[in-house]
Amino acid sequence: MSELIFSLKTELRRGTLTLAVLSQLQTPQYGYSLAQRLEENNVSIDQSTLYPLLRRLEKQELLTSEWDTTENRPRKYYLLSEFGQEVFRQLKEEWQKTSMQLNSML
Amino acid sequence: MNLIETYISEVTQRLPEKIKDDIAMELRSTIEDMLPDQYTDKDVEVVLMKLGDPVKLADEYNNKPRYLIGPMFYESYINVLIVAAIISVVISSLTLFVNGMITFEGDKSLFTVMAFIGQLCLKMLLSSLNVLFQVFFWVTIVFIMLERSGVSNGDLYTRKKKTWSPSDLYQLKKVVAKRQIPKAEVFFSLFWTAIWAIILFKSSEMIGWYEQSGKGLEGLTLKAPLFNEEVLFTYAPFIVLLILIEVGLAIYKFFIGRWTNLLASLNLIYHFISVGLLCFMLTDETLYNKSFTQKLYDTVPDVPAFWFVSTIATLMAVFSIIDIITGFNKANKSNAVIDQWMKNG
Repeated sequence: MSELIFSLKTELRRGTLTLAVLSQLQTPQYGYSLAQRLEENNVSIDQSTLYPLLRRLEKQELLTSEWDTTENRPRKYYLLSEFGQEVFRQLKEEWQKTSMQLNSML
Repeated sequence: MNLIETYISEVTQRLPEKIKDDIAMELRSTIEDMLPDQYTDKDVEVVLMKLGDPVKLADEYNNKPRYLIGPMFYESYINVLIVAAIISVVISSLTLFVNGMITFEGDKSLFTVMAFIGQLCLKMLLSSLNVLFQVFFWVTIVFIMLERSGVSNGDLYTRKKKTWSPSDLYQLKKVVAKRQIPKAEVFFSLFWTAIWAIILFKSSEMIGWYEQSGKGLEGLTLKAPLFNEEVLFTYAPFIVLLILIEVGLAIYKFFIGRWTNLLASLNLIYHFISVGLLCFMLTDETLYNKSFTQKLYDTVPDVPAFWFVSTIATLMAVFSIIDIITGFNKANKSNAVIDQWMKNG
């Protein structure tokens, strides 16, 4: 029973993770700083899911990335691309619509 | 430190060369970010625990499908598998059966015939099993390759199947309700192909000049085959091609179930090739065995050979033309029927 609930919850949350990640990349972030920002906002995401997700979003051209080697430790910064901005805007709208519809039903 | 590098290499050794270094560098910097300034091995363990199983992490990075054949292809995979299995079993059994009947020798006592048939059935069963394994193997390989090649991203699917609309049902129902080409016709044509192919390739033992040297049918022996076997075999590639076209056409007919303009056109091409090949072979004098022609002229001094050959060729051409025209007629009629049916709703 609890296993079923767990898998349903994961399924429900899966799509929202992308939206959460996109929302935090209006300014350049590196992997760990992004993980912390999400944690501060109480979004629970496994770090082992987050970093590969960033790669996938980059491959889908929603994000651009750049290595910063000026600090004492090289860091890879991710930022929303123009296309990513547009996708984020539409996803946000979709989310607001869906949550409104659901709220009125629940 | 050592623990970190081991963890990173556990991940990257499972990744493609192209992204290996970049991911290693990012992972290293991320892990260091997660650690306090002065860290102990215990701290490292905690951090690595957060990142989890390196195999799983590598899987996430690879993002490769963890299945052989995905939902996009599953349905067509099963369909192709069933169809290919049926066709190959039918063809292999047929070939064995016809071949067995032709090569059957020995006395015609009931016992030998029964034993022979039993043996033949066993052979057909075994070859069917063999063929089934082959079909399963190859079809699966092809579909796995299709799945991996990335065509599954909707392309193939949407191109093949236009957006579905209820009007599709009319066509479907029509075809199902009134199959224009009976299945038996298709199987008969496969059977026919098998027979002529076997007779042609076995012609050096079957067709030719027979002489009576004993009593009854058994005394009839082949003195000189009609064809020169070596020359006949130089035609083999064309004959095999013709067989393939014939089999392909029969299979296509089986599935489409009715005549269309495409099928009629294919039929036309097939007849052109077959009549062309036939004329070419009939007029090739080296194809005929010298000793056969010798015996023929010895017996019937002024046999009208040319007349005979041209009659066969003309007959074949006439039959072909009739079949081609019938094909197009049927295609038109079938289109008209479907149009009518659609109008009536």
